[in-house]
Order: sequence, then C-alpha cells, then structure tokens
Amino acid sequence: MTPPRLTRALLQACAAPADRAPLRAELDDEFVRVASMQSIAAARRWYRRQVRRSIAPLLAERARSWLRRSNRFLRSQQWRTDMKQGLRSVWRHKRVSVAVVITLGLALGAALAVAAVVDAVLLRPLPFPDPGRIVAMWNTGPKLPATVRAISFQDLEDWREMSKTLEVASGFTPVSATLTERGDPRRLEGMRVARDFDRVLGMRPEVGRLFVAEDFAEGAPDVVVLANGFWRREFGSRTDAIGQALMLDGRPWRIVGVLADVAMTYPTAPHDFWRPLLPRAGAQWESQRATGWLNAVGRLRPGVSVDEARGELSAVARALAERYPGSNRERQAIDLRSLKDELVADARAALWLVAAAVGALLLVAFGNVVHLLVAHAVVRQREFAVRHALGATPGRLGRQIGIEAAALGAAAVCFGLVIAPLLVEIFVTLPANALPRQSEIAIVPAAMRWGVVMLALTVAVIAWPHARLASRSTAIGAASTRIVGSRADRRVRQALIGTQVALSIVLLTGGALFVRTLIALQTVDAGFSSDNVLTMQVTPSRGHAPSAAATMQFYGNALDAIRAVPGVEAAAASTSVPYVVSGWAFGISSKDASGEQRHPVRVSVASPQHFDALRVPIIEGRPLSDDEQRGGADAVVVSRALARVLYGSRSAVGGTLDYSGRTWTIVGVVPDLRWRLDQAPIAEVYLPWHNAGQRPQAIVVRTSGDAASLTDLVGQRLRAIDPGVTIAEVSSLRERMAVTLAPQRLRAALLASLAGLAAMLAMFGVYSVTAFAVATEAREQAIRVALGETRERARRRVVGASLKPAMIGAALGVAVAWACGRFVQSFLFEMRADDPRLFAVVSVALLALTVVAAWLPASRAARLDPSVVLRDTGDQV
Amino acid sequence: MPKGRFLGEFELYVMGAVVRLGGEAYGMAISREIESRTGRTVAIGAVYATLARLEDKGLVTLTTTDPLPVPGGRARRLARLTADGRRALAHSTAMLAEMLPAFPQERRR
Repeated sequence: MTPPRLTRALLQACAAPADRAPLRAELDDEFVRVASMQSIAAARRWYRRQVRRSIAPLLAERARSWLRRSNRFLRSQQWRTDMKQGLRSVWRHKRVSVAVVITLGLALGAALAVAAVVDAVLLRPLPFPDPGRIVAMWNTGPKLPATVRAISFQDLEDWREMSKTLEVASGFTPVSATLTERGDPRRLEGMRVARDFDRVLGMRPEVGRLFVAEDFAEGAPDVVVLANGFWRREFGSRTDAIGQALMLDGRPWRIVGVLADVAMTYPTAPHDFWRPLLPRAGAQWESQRATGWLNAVGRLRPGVSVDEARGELSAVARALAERYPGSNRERQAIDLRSLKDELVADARAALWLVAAAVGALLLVAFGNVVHLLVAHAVVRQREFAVRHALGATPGRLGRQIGIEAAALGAAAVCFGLVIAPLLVEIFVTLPANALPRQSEIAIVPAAMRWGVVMLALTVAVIAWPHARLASRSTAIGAASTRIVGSRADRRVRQALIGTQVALSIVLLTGGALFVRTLIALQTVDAGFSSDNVLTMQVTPSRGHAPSAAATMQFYGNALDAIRAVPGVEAAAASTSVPYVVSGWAFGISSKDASGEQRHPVRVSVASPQHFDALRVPIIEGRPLSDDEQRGGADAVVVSRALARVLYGSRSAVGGTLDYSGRTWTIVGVVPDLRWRLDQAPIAEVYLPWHNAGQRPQAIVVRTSGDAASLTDLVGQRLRAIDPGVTIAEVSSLRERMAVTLAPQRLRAALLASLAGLAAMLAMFGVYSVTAFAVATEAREQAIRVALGETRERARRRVVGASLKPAMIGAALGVAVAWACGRFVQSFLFEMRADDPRLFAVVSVALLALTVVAAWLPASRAARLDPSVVLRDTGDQV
Repeated sequence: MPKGRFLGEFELYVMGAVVRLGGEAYGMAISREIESRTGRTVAIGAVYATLARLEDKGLVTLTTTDPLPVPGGRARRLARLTADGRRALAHSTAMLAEMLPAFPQERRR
C-alpha cells in the first residue's frame, strides 16, 4: 500500500531539501489513513491531487528563497571580499593564469573565427526573402557531363510554361561591357537577366524600378538596372541617376532603377549592372535550342519540396526530349538543388573539416588547462585547507573558485575575441573564389551566438578541477594532510598525454597532406611558363573596330607597338589564354573499345608568337606560317591530347580536323596545357589568327625582367593607338594562376596552422604533466637516488613515463588519421591519404618533440639532491 | 513597522492555525485545521512553502522532532510562532479590523 512512486518522486524533486523527509512522511501517513478510511484508489487520487497542487507553491517558494539569499549576499560586504580574494588569487598565481588565458584564448579565438565562417557560409540562410524556395536547375541525362549547368533559352521558356511546381523561373548569364563617357573607359561586369529574375530572388529596387515585361519585348528600348554598390560608387547614391543614360559598348542604356542593398551579391561576385536578357540577333547560339548558355534559377511554390519539383520537371524534360529529338534527346531529366546548397556545396566539406580540426584543437587546449589547474589545485590544497580550518564554509570557498574561474574565463574569451577578428579578416580578404558568401562573414553575430556557449564551457572547464579539490580538502579538513597524486590521477594524466598526442597526429597528418597538395599543385607542369608574363584583356573602342579587318588591324598595330617596348621578348594576342580568358569549345567524337565518346575541344585563335610568349614548345611539325595566319590556308596546330583522340599513336601532322564546316590540315602538335592546375588538360586546337574577327582578345607579353614593371608602358603604347581602348584585368600570369589555388591555399594554411597550434599545446601539455609528476614525486625520487639510481637512469625513467602514453596516443592517432583518410582524399592532388611514410614521419617527429618536452623536467628530477629533499619536512609540494 | 511585515491572507491562516494547534503544528495538521475552519482545500505543499517563507521572515521557527514513540512513527517538522510572529499576527488582525467596515457576521457551524 504505497503512494504512486513517480508522483512522490516528483514532489521530492520540487521540495526544498530540508522539507523533503517530513513532507514525504506526512503525506505517506495521511495516504495510509485515507486508504484505510476510504479505498486505495481514493487515496491515490487524493495523493495525486495534493502533489499536483503543491508543485507550484513549492517551486515558487524555492525560487523566492534563492533570490532572497543572493540578494542578501549582494547587499552584504561579503561578495566584495570574495571578489577581491578571487581576483587577488588570479593575480598571485600569475604564471598559471597567463598560461590558462593564452592557451584557451588562442583556441577560442580560432574556434570563434571558424564559427563565424561556418555560421555565415553554411548555417545562415541566404539574405533573400524565403530563401529556401530558391533553386538552381539544370538538365541531366546519362550522356550529359555532370558539371554542365547551362541550358538553352527555349528550354527555359518551356520549363516556365509547363511547370506547375515553380512559382517563377528565370535565368542569367554574365556579360561585360565597356563604359565610356564617364572618365577613362572601363570594363564593367554585369548580368543579363531573364524575365522575373528579381521575383526569383525577391529583390526590390532601392530607387526607380526593376525590369517589367515590356523591357523584354522585341525591339524594346535599351534599359539597365544598377547594382547598389556601383550606384553608390559611381553616382554617390544620387537618385537623379534614374533616367540618365549609361554608355555601354558605345550605346546609351537608360538607367531605370537601382537594386536594393543586399548583404550578398548574386549571381557571382560583385557586379555592376543588370540588363534584360533576350537572345541577340548577332549571336546565333543564343537562338538555338541545342546550345546551353544560361544558368536557370527558380522559386518553388510554397509547400513544394525539391523532390516533388524534380519529379515534375523531369517529366517536362522527357516531353521536350520527345518533341525536339534533335536538340533535347540527351536531356532526359532536370535536376535542381536549393540555391544555397548549390553555392556552398564545394566549400561545405572543407569547412566542416576545418571545424572538426578546431574542435580537436579546443579539446587539446581544454585538456591542457584542466591538467594545469588540477596540478595547481593540488598545490593550493593547503591554502584551501587552512581557509577551511579558519572557518570558510564550502559554499564560500566554492564561490571564490567560481569568481576565479569566471575571471580567467572572461579574460580568455576576451583574448579570443581580440584574435578572432584578425583571423576572420583573413577569410574576408581572400580571393573571391576561395570561399562562397565571403561578404557575409562577420564576427559579431557569430560571437553573440557562440561566444556565450564558449564562455560557459570555458568557465566550467576552469572551475571543475578546483571545485573538486576544494570539496576534497574540506572533507579532510586538516592543514597537515597532503594528497599526492593518486594512482587514478596518474592514469588521468597519462590519458591526457595520449589523447593530446593522438589529436595532434590526426591534425598534423591532415595539415601535411594539404600542404603537400598545395606544393604539388604549385609545381605541377602546366605545359607553359608563367614567369615574367604580363596578361591583359584589351578591347578597342568602337571607332577602331567597325569591321573584322579593322579589329585585326588594331590588334596587329598593338602587338607591334608592344614588341617595340624595351624588355619585351614576345607579345601575342589570342581569344583564349589559360587563366585569363577561356574562349569557347566544341565537341568531337571518337570511337574505341568502350564505344563512342565525346571530347570537348577548346578553340584558341592566336596570333604569331603565342607559343613563344607562353614558352610552349612545338613537339612535332611546325607552328603556323605567316601566310596561314593571314588565312592563306586552313591549317591548324593541335594539342597532344587532340592528336591522340584523332590519330591515336600515329602522327597527327599532315592529318585533318573538321570544325565549323571546314576541313583543317594539322601542321604541328604542342603539349597539353593545364587550364586548371588540379584537373587534367583538355584537348585544344589553335586556329589561324585572322579567324578572330571582331572578338575581343587578350594580350600576352613575355618580358625579360619583372612583368608588372611594364604595365604602365604597355598601357601608354596601347592608348597611343586608340585613346578609347579598354584595358582590363592587367596582371602577371603567375598571379592569376596563384589566385585559382585560393581554396587549396586556404585549406592548407588553416589546417597547417591549427595542427601546429595543437602540436604546440600538446607539447606544452607533456611538459607540464611531466613537470608536475616530478614535483609531486620528489621524495620518491630522492629515495631512489639515495638507494643508488644514477642520474642517467632517473632521467630515462621520467622521460619514459611520459613517452609511453605518447606512443600509445601516436598509434591511436595514426589509426584515426588512417580511418579519416577517405574524407580528405577528394581534396588531395595526386597523392594518397593513407601514405604510410607520412604517418611514420609525423609520428616520429611528434614523439621526438615529446622526448624534448619531457626531458627538461626529467633533468630537473635527476639533479635533485636527496639529502635536501628528504630532510625537508614536507611543506613543499 | 517595516515594509514587508504585512501578512498575506494565506499567511494569516497558517499563523492562526499554528497558534490554535499549539505544540502540534505540523504540515498536515495545519492543512486540516485550515480546511475544517475555512472550508478551503489546502495543498500540503502550499503549507510547507508558506512556513518556509514565514521562517525566513523570522515569524515562525521550525524544529524537527524526534520520531514519534509509536511503531513506524516518524520525525515531524513542528512550527511555532516567535515573539515577532505573535506581534505581526496581532498587528495584522488589528489593522484588518480597523480597516474593514462592520459586516454582519456570517456564522458557520
């Protein structure tokens, strides 16, 4: 005959500690009475009702009493004394305090910086209204390359028409234009955006209007919408910019509006204007359904999932494939992905990897601090015992410990907050391709969100060792008692060394792999030489390029003028130059045992001296002759990859290639060029220069000295020929190549520095653990020496005691690193994540450092004079 | 009379019950006393909470008794008014009588 157990437990939890036993007893007695007078069921009902109605007053009274007590404490002078005592104690133990603040501050700073980046890039939604419904869309099919996202204008129109799951769909393609009549001619970057693009993103105008349906009609007047940043820079935020004309490529475009200021610029990095997108009459491919040239985006109807939309749109794709077999046969389905995922996909894995590394670093740092403070607390045991003996209550001691911990924790977090912005600064100023959404990275919101968590964690970590010890020393309560590290404590210390070494090994192997990848990429043979090469995109003004012949004349004169500059070894112009301008490509088919295969072929229309300027050797045959360059014969030079596709192991020189309705004779073969350092080269064909027509070209200048020093001189020569010439993206080829490695450089730098920091902290941990062991075991050591242990053996024993857990940790670390290998493999370039040599080098190096870190305190132990130590009464610890 | 010495209605009930019960004022007895006199059902938790508050104000003292000398007898927490408590009770009832107009007394029982 017992009351309901759960109910009783609940009541016990709510009551104040002093009330618990009598309350329970009284209720139990009454329960028995009610049960005997009525029934057990009635008694239970009565009991439950009593408890139900008791909870609120009990809890309220406990809260009130807590408030009363803390209020009384705050009003008393005691807290000031406690505060003073706590801060004085932090000050008195300066060395420990500084070590704690620096260790934790560094780790917290790194963690906060990475938290800011992860928060901005991966966690925060895109800064558009209802961003979860914005999707990127593209065609897929078993025979379509997975990386191609572009679709045709006609397909976009049909998707828009036929889909029920999309609220709106639109597309865009980047465009550049030369701005004139506003100071020096400049190149602007813009977007051609299709109908409803603003509705997909939910963009609003800052002033004026965005595009309306009439702007997309055939023969509509030329209008342009300015990006907010461009408007502020160029027009000083003046609203009378609306209605003015902007001269782009020699034509006036009327400004109708300005985009609102949004934290993020999409699509792509900062751009200056939007223009309505319609297929242009001059650009044949834009009117063909067969060619993909647009990036499609859409906004799903509310409540529609990405999967539903994918299913529906794929049905649309199949219908189109049936209706237009000529162009759409391979476009079997449509895939779509939320815009955020599409934007951050490449960075996601890398960022989580870095976040994991920071987590490991925090663990190492927290481990260090806990040990440092445990050791320190043992030292302070006498202080606590004395204070307890003098009448300090456990609560009072605990409060002082709390104040100390809070002061140290706050100092550490402050230190972290000082260095975190410096680290974040590095992220924000990275080249635009290193990380998506860079402009949104900010320390303040992240600090608000994560800083409190980190502070709480830090204070808990700092307070724990002391609190444990304070309670222990009050339990013992006698000043003379000394707790030398127990066996369990020793185990904990060994585990600490092992864990720190293991984590360091994991981070170091990761860092080493990323650094090696970066070095491998920087030294990979790109097929050309980028030293002392100046590159720029040069576009003549309209007056100098009314026709194809005039355009060619301009580039010919420009090259002649540049070649006359002292220090120039070679100069060439081309429609495509690696890392400068990508030109265009077509596809050819080859047949082999595995069936028909499509190969992309990059087309480069290049002037004489192109191969000289890039130092590309002719490996077979000869370069194009001057006559061929002028169009005397349809001859081409092909890259080795193209020669292999066309003629296998046979010689390609003298063979032919069909392209653009003509048959071209192959006269020479050059090596393959890497257009991306981390990818295999693709096939290339070099056409005679006169085929460039009116296309804008890039100029490549090889110099005998520093390329950048000729920038001004080359610019002057070009302006002498055409004062209205646009010269854009002037930089050395080496620089441009380096920029493409920004993601790899970021990863390598981050992981390597985190790994270095972790290893440093781990070694500091080994040192302090060993030093503490030596200090607490001084008597034991002295006895050993007195009994005849040599210094050499003593030293070896002490080092060995720290090395053993380190070795176990190293083995564990290698195992973990090996298991994690497959996560990082995709980031690596031509190397394996489970390279045993790397594991060996890293482990041996770290163990060697462990020996050094343990050696210093070990030597001190060996130098102990047993007669002094043993005579000591034991006051020192 | 310092602020905060005014007693709430339920506090008055509890203190009154403590006085009536003399040396037998423990939680359940107080609860029963109030129930029988006012007809208001009282949760024991409310009595405990109120006693704790009154103790904190220095109006009652709580002592834990030795276990009752019967089989299964258990310790109880006994309440008794302090001198302050008596003064506060007297003061509060006097003030109440002073403030309230004379109603015809509603007789119970």
